[in-house]
Amino acid sequence: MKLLSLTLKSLRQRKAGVALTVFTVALSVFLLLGVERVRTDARQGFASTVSGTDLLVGARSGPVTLLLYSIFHVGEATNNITWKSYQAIRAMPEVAWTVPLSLGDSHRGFRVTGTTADFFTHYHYGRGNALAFTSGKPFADLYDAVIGAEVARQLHYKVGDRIVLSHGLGGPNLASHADKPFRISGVVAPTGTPVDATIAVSLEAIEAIHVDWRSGMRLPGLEASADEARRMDLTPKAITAALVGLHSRLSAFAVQGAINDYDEEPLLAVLPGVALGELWHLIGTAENALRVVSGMVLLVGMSGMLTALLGMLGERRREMAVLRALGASTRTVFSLLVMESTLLTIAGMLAGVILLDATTALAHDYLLAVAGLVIDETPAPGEGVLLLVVLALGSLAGCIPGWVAYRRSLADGLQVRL
Amino acid sequence: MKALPLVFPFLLAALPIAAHAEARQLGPHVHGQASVNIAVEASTMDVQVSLPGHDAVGFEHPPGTPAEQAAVDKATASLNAAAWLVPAPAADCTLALARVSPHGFGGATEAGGHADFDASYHFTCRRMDRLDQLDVRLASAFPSVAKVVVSLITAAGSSQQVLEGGVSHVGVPQ
Ligand SMILES: [Zn+2]
Repeated sequence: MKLLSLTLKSLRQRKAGVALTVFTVALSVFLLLGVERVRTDARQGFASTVSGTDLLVGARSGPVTLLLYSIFHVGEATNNITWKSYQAIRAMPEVAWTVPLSLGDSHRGFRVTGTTADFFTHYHYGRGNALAFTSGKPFADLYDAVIGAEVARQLHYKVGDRIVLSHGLGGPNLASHADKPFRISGVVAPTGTPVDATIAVSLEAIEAIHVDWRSGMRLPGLEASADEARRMDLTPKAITAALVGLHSRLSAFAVQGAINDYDEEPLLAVLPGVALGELWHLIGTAENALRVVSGMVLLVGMSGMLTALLGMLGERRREMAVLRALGASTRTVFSLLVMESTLLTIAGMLAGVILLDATTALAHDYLLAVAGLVIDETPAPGEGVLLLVVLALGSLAGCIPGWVAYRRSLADGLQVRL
Repeated sequence: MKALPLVFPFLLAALPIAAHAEARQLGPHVHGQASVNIAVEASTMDVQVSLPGHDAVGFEHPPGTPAEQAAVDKATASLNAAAWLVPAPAADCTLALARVSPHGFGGATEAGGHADFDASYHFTCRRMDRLDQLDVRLASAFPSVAKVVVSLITAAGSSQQVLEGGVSHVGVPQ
């Protein structure tokens, strides 16, 4: 205890240097834990891009290909599946609900998804979060569109605005569906999933805008106006993929097997979590890079503290000599410096954690809106271990100036005696 | 509208292995690799296993000698006992039903020339909330199994874990 109060008194003498050292440690702890939190949350968020959906069904390709195209809207387009097959899946007794997804058109770089209003009730993300509307409501009219938060933010759209969809993904020879403009009926709240960058319209709307199109071209002489299209048969012929929910999870493997074995059409049913895990595994090297960076950050922070402690040692030669003269053993001098670095590390850790918590609390909404990143305010599971590592490193770092001071006071002690 | 026939996974392996076998959730027939599907809901845990005949008994043809027949019987009994699967004891699970079906060991050789052991189990767990892990000891029960692909479906979603090199621990996301 005496050692502790001695350390505190000594630290009080060097306020500026001490504050700077604590700040260095705090910053490295902040970065270390921050990176860890972002890493776990990014993985968590990614793994639950689709939750509450038991199976994702599309044309036979690969699980990752299907997932990338139908959910993340990137990568190679998969084949379509026929409406008939979709109806057959829908009619299976184990199937509770299905949500069709039809891709192919875009609007100013954002993908358009044709679906049903069920999408807004059955598409869940994270720990079973349903989609919420910032304003407006799901599409009701044939020419209604619902936009994601990112679309609204980047294009400054609001409910009631009129937009025109483009055929395909855009590019210089953009074919537009200008004859059939859409009205924005709702804006979905930020989710941190690809929904944020999606424009959702009804399946019938996708049919309607292509009713007078064949093989990617508008047929001259066959034009159907927006109102004429309303009276036509708008039953889709094909969709890209479907989300499937089951009455019981217990039937998931059996239904998956039955769909994969459907002999009228080559279909693929994947378990979303398995496909997401596979995909994360592919991009997991980024995660390791983050880990390496946070390890480096910690090393830099610790060497910062070490430099400061060693630097202060020169001016403290007299302090040590006085301590020795008062009867302190060389071992006490060593312990004093280890105690000092430990205290500084603990103070830095506390400051770093407080800083991180304050930042995540403040930046939570901003990060979700701008980066689509959901940062959890609760600590990541690995944080306790990391803090212990920091503490151990901090104490260990104190051994170096401790050893120097120990050697010096031995020498100084000898000099006094001489 | 024609409804899909519900094909149980333990029948799938009996079907000819198509060019698109990789799409099948039981996976292609790979010697040394077993697949385990586990689905959990409420107090029920359903487990399905597919084990290549090569790894279960060392051959994939109708047993011709008494020794081969004994090997098939032994593997069947071993799978039937379900000792290779140990759910977390705290979950208090009891095996309610086990069904083992060897395919391709009968009179006519199956298309594709392979034979498998398929087994399905039905467990009832009193404390499913405590089922945080499972021990899948297929590799020690059948030493030529080098890799076990475990697919899991729980309330937390679906996931897959690959067991290799003596690992038998499967974490159950909650
Ligand atoms: Zn189009």
